[in-house]
Amino acid sequence: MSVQFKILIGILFTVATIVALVIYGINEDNRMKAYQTNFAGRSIQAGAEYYESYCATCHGEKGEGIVGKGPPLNRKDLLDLKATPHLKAINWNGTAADFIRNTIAAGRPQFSKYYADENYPQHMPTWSQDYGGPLRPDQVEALVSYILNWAPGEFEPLVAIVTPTPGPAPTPIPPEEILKAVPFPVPPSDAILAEGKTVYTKNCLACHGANRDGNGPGAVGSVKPPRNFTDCTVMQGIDLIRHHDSVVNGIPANGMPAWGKKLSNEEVWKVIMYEREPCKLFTP
Amino acid sequence: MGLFNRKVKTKPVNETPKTDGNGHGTDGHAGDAEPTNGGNGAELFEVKTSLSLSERLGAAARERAPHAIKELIPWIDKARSGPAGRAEFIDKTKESAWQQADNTVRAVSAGMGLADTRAFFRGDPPVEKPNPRYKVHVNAFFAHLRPKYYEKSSTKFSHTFGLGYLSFYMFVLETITGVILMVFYTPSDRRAYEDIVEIMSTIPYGQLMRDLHRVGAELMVLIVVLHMTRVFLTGSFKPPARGFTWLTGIVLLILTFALSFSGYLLPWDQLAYWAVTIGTSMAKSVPPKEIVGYFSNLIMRGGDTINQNGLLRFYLMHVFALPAITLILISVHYYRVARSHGISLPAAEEESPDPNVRKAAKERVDYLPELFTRELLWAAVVTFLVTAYSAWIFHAPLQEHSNPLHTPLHTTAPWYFLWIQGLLKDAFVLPALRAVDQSMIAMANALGANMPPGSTIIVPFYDSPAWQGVIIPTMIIPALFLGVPYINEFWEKFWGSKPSRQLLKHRKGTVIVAILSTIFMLVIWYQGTPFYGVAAPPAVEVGQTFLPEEGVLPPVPLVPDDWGPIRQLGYANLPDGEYDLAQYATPRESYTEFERVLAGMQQEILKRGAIWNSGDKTHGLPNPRGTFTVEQWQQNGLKRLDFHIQWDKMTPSDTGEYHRVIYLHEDANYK
Repeated sequence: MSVQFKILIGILFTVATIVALVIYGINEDNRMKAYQTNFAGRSIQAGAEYYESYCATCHGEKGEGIVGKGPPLNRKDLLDLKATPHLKAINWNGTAADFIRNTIAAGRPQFSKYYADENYPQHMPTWSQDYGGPLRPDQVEALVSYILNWAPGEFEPLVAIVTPTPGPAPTPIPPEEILKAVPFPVPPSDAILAEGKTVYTKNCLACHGANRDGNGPGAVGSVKPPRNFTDCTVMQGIDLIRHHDSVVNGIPANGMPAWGKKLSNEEVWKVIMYEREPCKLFTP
Repeated sequence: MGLFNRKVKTKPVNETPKTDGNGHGTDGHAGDAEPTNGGNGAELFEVKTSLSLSERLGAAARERAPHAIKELIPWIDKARSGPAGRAEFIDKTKESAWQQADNTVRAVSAGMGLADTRAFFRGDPPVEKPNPRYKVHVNAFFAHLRPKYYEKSSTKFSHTFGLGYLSFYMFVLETITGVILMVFYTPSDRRAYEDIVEIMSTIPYGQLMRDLHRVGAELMVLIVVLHMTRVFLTGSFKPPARGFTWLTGIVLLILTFALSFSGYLLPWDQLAYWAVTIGTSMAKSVPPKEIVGYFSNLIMRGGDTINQNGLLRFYLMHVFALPAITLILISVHYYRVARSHGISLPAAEEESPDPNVRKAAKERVDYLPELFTRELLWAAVVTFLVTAYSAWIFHAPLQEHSNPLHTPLHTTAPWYFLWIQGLLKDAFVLPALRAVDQSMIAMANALGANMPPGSTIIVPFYDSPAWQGVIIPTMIIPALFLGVPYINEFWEKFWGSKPSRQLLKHRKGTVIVAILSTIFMLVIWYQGTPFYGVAAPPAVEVGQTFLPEEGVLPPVPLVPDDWGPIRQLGYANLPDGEYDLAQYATPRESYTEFERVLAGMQQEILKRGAIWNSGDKTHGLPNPRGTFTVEQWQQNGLKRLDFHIQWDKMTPSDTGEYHRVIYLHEDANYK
């Protein structure tokens, strides 16, 4: 090869490299955008995996919430950036993403005022390694993108959201009044038991289980195992008064929420009767 | 000196301006002579006034003009004198311009004048004598590193394939792209992965730089290995002259491995983390492992596992220590080649009985311009190929963030360390030792000893990871490589054979050794891949085939990641539903792509059933059946895929089922 020929070919290839770089550069903006969407998608996928292993036990496998364990996450007021009353209520100036990130990372050392009425006796633990939790920062970030990927109100939450209305503390009912308060004849009719079952399914099943054996999905990780209503030897030691007290005022130390505010007197009694049905302990 | 000359020259000019005027007469410019020609007073007066205005000013300007202009004045005068003077003026101008340009070119090219530079680029022989191109080799730094000329046959492409040059080219490419990447990278376990994502997604040409860096790294390892193979096969390692050069080459090979390997960790994804964890775990087994193994692991990883400390250490090794050492070693290696012994000639020509052939082989080929332009041509071609390959064909992988708590299934060391991983799986030594043990026990029992059949004698002395991962590889390196020149020399002296470099004629033993060791390396390399001897449960293997975990390196370099057929189908091609795979047992023509994948799953499952029926209880499954569920998990484009395999329980504790679950987002692109 003559020197001139080598120089010619060399120049041609140099020009070809420059042309290649220019052609590559023309598409660079689109490529970067495509990579960003691609990475965002993968981050959501990763978040879904972490959610399944860390969050689903309390917040439900699709974020619908578990009564008494964790509030629903796909709710409109949490995810919709335009409607974030709870963020305004606590003077939060950041975005919803920041709020979710902070909550996951640092947990909830105090119960949320916003959810005060909703009976979530368990604290949100700290999850980020920065606060002694198990998750790396990138995992927290992936969880945020997964949670924000829910369409606001995508699923029907299990719990109706009630705006808090501060009122007078409920006065405790004296024990002798309690039996008088049973609003229906004892032992209850089948219709009443059926209504009790409806209330139970909606509010108690998560922890006490469909078979009333204290083995619901929410039982995992609770402070003390929920009461097993089919265990008649134990149930015999629990009279109506104690049972009523547990339902209305809860047993905070054990993780049992207080239902007095949420359920009406009639509903409380119906569910008590339904719970006592396996052992037929209807009278005191 | 120049300043001094100027002063000396200007003095006489100031005193007698007319001395340097050769053709003054006709123009009547000589100011001093004018008054003497004067007639009556009026004329004199007039002339004097005109003189005082223009001529005297002119004379004053001439007197005070800088030297360079003063020198020009007579030439301008000459140009104004007529056509002949003008021609002379133009010639003078051309000559001095040429002189100026020539001087400049001589300064820039460090020796070559203008005419020679022209001849240089035209490929003509040098114009001046002595050859000014040799002057360049003396005066210019980079040219002085290169030999003035090569022996003709040593420059044949088919002799060297330019592999040494290409190795260095890759080193330069890595340095340039590496420095650019360094700008955007922070060696912190919290920032590193994020920074790589930034490089890929927000920095123009960032991905290209990363791809070039990766392609260059893989090619560098490949080319260095090929370079050594070539040197081995052409016998260009032979002492006395080239033995030391070969040794520096060995060190450079190890440095190349180390450079590439230390860079593997920096993206901080699952691939990076586990490839390096596996690579460094070998250091743990260096005997005695309670001392040397413990400390070498601690020093390399900066802790029991790789964390922030380890990342910083690998980073500093990668960007500073190793490149610096490599540069020094390259200098030593190249200086030997350039100054001490040159590139070897093809053995057949060097050892030819025909003196003409020997003479022709040693004919001189000047580096400038012949080989210089050849090198630039190579650089241009390779740059284009590497750029195009990185821009449109290969993209450096980036998988999910590293997770120290989750080891991906089938994770491996980088491809060039797979042979060590293959040794660790130990297909030869431990089974052999077990067999020896068994026969010894059988013999002892026959002689009356009462040893239980499971007992061992030699095996406990053989600590497998230490031997297989450390001792044998470090013995292979000196034996196969370091020892090559000197063992070879000893061998020739021992047998009294004539030292020769001709492979097929006089080095038949070398050919056999080369073939055997290549086969051996390929076998243990293959044993290092996940295709050999991996003990994952069969259902997990089936799941891995279709929905592989992130963090698995391909066993060969420069091929794209394998994401499995389902991810490649993509979100849009996965219709919701629960699919009983038994219904896809017979593939049909009418199947969609998705259904074809389902049929593939069913075939894989049936294969496991057939393996069980044939009696292989470790790789087979009794009566296996599968379902594949696609569920819309979030309205905003997220699906949950569940590959559920069930089989009859093999043991009471066996769950009899396996779920491989992944989530797939609409925007995630695996094509």
